[in-house]
Amino acid sequence: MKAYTNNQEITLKVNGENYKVVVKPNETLLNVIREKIEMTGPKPGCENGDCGACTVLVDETPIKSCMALAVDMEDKAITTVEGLKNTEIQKAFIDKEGYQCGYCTSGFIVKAYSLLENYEKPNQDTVEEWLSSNLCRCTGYEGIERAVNKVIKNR
Amino acid sequence: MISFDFDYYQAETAEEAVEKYLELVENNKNVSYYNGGTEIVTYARKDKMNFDAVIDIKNIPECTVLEENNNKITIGASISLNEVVEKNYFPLLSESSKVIADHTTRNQITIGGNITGRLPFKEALLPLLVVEAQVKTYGKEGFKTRPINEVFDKRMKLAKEEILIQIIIDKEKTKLPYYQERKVKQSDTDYPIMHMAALKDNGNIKFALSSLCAFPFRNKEIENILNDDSISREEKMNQTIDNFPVPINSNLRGGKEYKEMIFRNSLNDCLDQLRGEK
Ligand code: FES
Ligand code: FES
Repeated sequence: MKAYTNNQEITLKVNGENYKVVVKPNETLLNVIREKIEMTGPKPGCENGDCGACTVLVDETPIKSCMALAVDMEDKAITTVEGLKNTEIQKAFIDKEGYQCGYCTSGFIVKAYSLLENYEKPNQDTVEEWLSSNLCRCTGYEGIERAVNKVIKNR
Repeated sequence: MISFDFDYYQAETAEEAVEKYLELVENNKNVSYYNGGTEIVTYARKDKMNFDAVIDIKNIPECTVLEENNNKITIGASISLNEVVEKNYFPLLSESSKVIADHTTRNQITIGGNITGRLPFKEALLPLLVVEAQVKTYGKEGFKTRPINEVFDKRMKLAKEEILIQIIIDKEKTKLPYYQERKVKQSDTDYPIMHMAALKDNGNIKFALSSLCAFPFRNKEIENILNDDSISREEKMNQTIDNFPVPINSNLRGGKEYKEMIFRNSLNDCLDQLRGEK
């Protein structure tokens, strides 16, 4: 049985790179990515599972990293928005102004990326179902929708 | 970040998990089993829950089974709600699961966590009550398989060290006509005001309800009323409400009268659909 007590070194694989970090079991994945790996893409919004600003992929599945323990993530492949540089969806967010303050944007890009990996041409209900996991306090969601639809239309 | 320290153990077998649980408790530790983690992490962060150790059970092989074979559907306790929905072995369970929380969170919430956790809604439980699922558990006395309707009474009555391993469903029953309705105050991702699930089996309605009262329930008296052709629709509704195990509760999601109205409308639709009554 694997046991993690107090401070312990673990290896996290983030965006294809291995990072050795010393963590305690009470640290969330979100905290460790931001504070110890120093990637600030995943954002602490609510830290309560409500807003999606902290969304990352774990083995290609989107999760809210504020509700996951870092010690539970050894041997898994984690992708943050930093790992989605120059993807079609990132460019579409820029082209279609899918952001204002940008705080929610990394969570939206990660979630939308995963949606577009899972569906070639998702219908609007599916887009809505997936993206309603994330909250935006600025845009009214129109630019975000335009960005996702741009990628879908180009396929 | 959670403000207190605790130890984290990852069990590979049910035996190992229970053994560790008993050993830690013997040493006066406060221990919690850990599955998807959504509830534990958020409650612990808000200091609404405290423990010295968690034992992660989601890698126990039996807990990760999701299969349909012979006449049974087996769902491991660590299967996420999205996996339940995607496989869609039991359409009523899929309907009830796909409205819980939001899509990303449903990748983390496990079916076992949803029905054994602290939150009172336990929406994935409703289809399991009406389909009369069996639950396989592991505790001090080894593996046990029992009807969920015997184990669930306000909450899952498991021994302290006992782990929910699997849910087993009779495949034939998953094809029965059903009705499902969930009402929320504003956004779909809100906690529900009411969640109702019903099946029609041999002409009779089996009916379970969550969120309107303090805990989910399925109740024989109510089903007798709903299936009694001699009672008028209006009277069925009145008697059903009179037979709730506890009164409808008022809270921030809705006052008692409002919730009662929502319930009556939904029950009306349910009876229209499943009994073809006018
Ligand atoms: S910060 Fe994780 S969901 Fe809001
Ligand atoms: S752009 Fe500001 S919260 Fe979405």
